[in-house]
Amino acid sequence: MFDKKIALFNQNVKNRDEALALLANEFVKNGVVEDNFLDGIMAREAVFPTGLELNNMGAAIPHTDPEYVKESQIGFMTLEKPVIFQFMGDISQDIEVSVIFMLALKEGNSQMEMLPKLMDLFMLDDVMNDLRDVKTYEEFYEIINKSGLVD
Amino acid sequence: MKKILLCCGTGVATSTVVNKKLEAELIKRGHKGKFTITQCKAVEVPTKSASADLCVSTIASSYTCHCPLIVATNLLINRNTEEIYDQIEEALFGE
Repeated sequence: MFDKKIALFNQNVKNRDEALALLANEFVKNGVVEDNFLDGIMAREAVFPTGLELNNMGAAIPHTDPEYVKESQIGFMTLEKPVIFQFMGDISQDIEVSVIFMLALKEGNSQMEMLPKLMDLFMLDDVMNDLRDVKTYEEFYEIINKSGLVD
Repeated sequence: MKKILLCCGTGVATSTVVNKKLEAELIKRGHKGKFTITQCKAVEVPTKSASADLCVSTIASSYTCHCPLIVATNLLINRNTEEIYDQIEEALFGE
């Protein structure tokens, strides 16, 4: 689910929407989602936000319905300065997000093993600090591979 | 048999993560064979909740739910889980 190597590091963006557009565009360029994937991501984020408060930072897992997706894929992005997302469990709660995993998911079993591992990773403070600071795809890959996210 | 409706925005992502965790925890607490878990997306909650005993959701509740609802976002990342599991157990099997 990482084979297209969609990863953007230390990006300077003004807000959540800019971050989402930048990352979603990488999915479109790689042909793994429909051209209107971003519309789906934005619509979903507006109604059911995807921010999560971790121990040492905020993270978000923007995703949308399977009909926007051609091939399951995960994209990664870190931000130079955090941007505001809302908490998944309560839309009135803001979260300063510095790490984003954008999920393009088809229905089916491909995510059954990977997603729980990704969520477990979120609670490993040292690993998340390392992830936030990665500068190259090689560094990123080493962490996710070691964490069992790569099949 | 208690029917749990497990809901998230798309019905394929975060509810999938919580499904396994919730099932394992309820079995650990001695409720094996006494419950079923059905995943659905948020837009299906208004209809599907009518025949459920409890709805557990990973997302905020901006939809109509016809059974008791527990928002359990933190189960995703294993944060403060005991409290949430206690609530779920109480709602399903409490007196």
